[in-house]
Amino acid sequence: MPISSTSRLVLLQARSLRTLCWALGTLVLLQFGLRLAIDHLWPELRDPTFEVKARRLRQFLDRAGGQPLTVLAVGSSVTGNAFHARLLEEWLARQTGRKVVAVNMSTQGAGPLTQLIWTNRLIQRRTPVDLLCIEANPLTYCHPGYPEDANRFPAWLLLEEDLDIVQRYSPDTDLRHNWRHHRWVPFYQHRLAMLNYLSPNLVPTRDRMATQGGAVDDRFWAILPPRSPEHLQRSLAQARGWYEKPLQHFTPNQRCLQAFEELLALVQKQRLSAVVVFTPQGPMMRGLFHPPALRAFKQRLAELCHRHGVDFVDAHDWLDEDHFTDSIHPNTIGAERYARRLAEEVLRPWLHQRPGLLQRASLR
Amino acid sequence: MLFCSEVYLYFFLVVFTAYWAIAWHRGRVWLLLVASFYFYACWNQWLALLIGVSTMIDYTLARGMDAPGWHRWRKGLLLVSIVGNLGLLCYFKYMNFFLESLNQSLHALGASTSLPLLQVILPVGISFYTFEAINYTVDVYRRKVPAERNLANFMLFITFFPHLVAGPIVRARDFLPQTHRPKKWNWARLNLGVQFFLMGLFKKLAIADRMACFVDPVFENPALYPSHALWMAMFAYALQVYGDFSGYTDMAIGSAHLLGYKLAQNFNMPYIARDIAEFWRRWHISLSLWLRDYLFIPLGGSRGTNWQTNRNLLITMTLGGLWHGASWVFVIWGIIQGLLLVIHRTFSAWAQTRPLLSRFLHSPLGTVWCVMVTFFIFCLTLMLFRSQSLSQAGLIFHNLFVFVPGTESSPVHVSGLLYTYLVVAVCHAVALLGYRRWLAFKMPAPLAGIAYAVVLCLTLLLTPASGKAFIYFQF
Repeated sequence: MPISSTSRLVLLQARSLRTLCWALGTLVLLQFGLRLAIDHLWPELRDPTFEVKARRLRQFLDRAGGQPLTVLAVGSSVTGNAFHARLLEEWLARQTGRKVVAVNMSTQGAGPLTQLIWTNRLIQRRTPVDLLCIEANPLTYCHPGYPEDANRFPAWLLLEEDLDIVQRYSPDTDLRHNWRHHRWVPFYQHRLAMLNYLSPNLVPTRDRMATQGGAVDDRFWAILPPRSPEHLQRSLAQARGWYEKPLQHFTPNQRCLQAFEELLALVQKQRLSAVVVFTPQGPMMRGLFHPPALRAFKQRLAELCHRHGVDFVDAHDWLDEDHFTDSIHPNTIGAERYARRLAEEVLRPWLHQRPGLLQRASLR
Repeated sequence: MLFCSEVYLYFFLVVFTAYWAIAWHRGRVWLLLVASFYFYACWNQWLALLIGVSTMIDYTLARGMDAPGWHRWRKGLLLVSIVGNLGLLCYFKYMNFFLESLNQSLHALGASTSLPLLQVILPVGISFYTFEAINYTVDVYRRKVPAERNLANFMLFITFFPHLVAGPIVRARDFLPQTHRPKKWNWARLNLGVQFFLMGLFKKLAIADRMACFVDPVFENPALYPSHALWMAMFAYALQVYGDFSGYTDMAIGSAHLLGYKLAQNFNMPYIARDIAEFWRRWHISLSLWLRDYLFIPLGGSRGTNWQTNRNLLITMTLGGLWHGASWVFVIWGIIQGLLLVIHRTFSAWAQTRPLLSRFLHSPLGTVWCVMVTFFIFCLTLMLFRSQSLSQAGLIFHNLFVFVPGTESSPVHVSGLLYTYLVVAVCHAVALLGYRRWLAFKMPAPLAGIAYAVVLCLTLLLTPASGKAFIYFQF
């Protein structure tokens, strides 16, 4: 029997209503589902830079079983290139006879604020850490105003426990409100993180998140092969152009120092064993500083470390120019040399201060 | 207040709820009128007042023309209306362009003094609403539409917020009757409005704004980029400008449907046009039709000799180019579009006398070839459209065709561009194969509902960090 035009209209109305209801229902379900997934299952969709490393660390710890000796390094790309975690892991395993997990938890442009946030996250997750290597890189202290890395923490990238910390250092005065604002529209709130994680090719250059450039090994050591002399000269000239002026008038940013001290206080409160390493630089970069200003800065850092019971190691002149790609980032040769010196001058004394570790090793 | 912003969402929700809550038809018209003025006043209160005043003048003039009377009196009123509207447009949009051009000419002739430029801001959407006002008064003069007696209805025709700032250019004969018709709640229409709005949102946020992230750095400083980056930016810009403008139109049509109004179609898959004439019948249809009805035909249209038709085409497209913006770049762009139409006309006539060529051009392969050539030529002309000056356009064309290595790497990712083209091609194919009606009206409700939600989520996911204003707002 043919359908009359009135019936057809009624059918169309009913279909439209059902379509819109389905659309609304599915939309709510999708947003809610993604919110739950990000919060409980797939945190990489919120902050891939940290969470990829955190997940890998958990996998290493699970694989190692028992209570492996855990050594982590937080810092900027300098630590990313310098901290050869696998070499250190092998060295520590030989010395102690125990299972060791060493992971490079650095990220590009990370100053003391990023290190504070990441360390706090590790603590909140009860990650077992036997030694935390904290980077003290003067280049992350020379930005005036707010800490330079505060801009790297928009509200959507943060966990609730990060908010109080970031609020103290961020120019965003409404951080908590912004964090809540699109919370139930995660497809929008976390879109940049999701795309950066799932399909970086779809991300415009200006929306790219800071990730370790170049090749990285499974412990996130960023591998920089040595450069040809001509290439090195070009890189040196470029680095000089960027840093000559800021370093000649180097005055450490007080907010950065405040974040650094907060990090040390956190470490002390949690009774974490930590060491602050003043990052190595090539002779060219070292020569750009006004020597008294540099001395005063190192002294200030050492004082803060002393106040909070954390060791301070000055590795500023550990490496030569040909160990760097630009007098700032160590190449593979520099990283190996740095690892050896770190093992001998930091890890060995640290092990000797904790005879329990060695005794347990000898029992095996 | 951009259609794709959160503010617009809240604004629209309030208007939508209040509109359907009011049972009284006149009340609804007044509500829309107030909402439209508020919408425009968000940019500038004084310019909202300007539209109000100019609309009232047009209303009065049209009423005068509608009265039975002396022909010359009616003609005089029409002239006042046209001069008034064009005067407004010229003052705000073109005066500084004319003064600058005059100053440059005077300097070239050795004069040392310059005429001072005006300190005016360009009212958003002025080119659209002045054209709407002109089409109304001309149609009233031609007795094609009766003059609207109700001021609120007329003001709503000009200021209805979905089409106010970037079209489509609405015809009085299409819109005014709708203002008289009481609206009834209709789920099917609501569904259609949501469909249009979602489609527009996807085009704007996921395609146009995404492409803008790739294109903008290249056009800000084209000298820094290698030739291949410019080629990619060109194809990316073609998607951007299409997604941006047709996306805006879809959102406007969707918003209007949600309030029970119908706006005219403004785009019909222009990138599958076989030739430039067909392209202009598919791209910004409301402007093309306006130019045809109120400029090309009054100039003589295609009724005269070949030479006269070609002249009319050139004049129409040059003025169409100038409509887009007050700069020589747009004038030359318009001339090029006119020349392309003339070349196409001449070539078509010539090809018709060559049966083999004509058969090839109408074969499937020939059609694909024609579509590709038309698209490519339009893309090339877009380089001029996007350039900030003639010298920059010259540099871009030079670097497109003469290889330059550049110093910056391309911000356009090949895969990102290809995926986007693929998505657009699939959508076109769906429409061409006739599935659009099925998708819109016959797809099972659960499937359609899920599809809406997925499209919206994808749109949100693909939205770049910072949004961009619609390109056509500047016109």
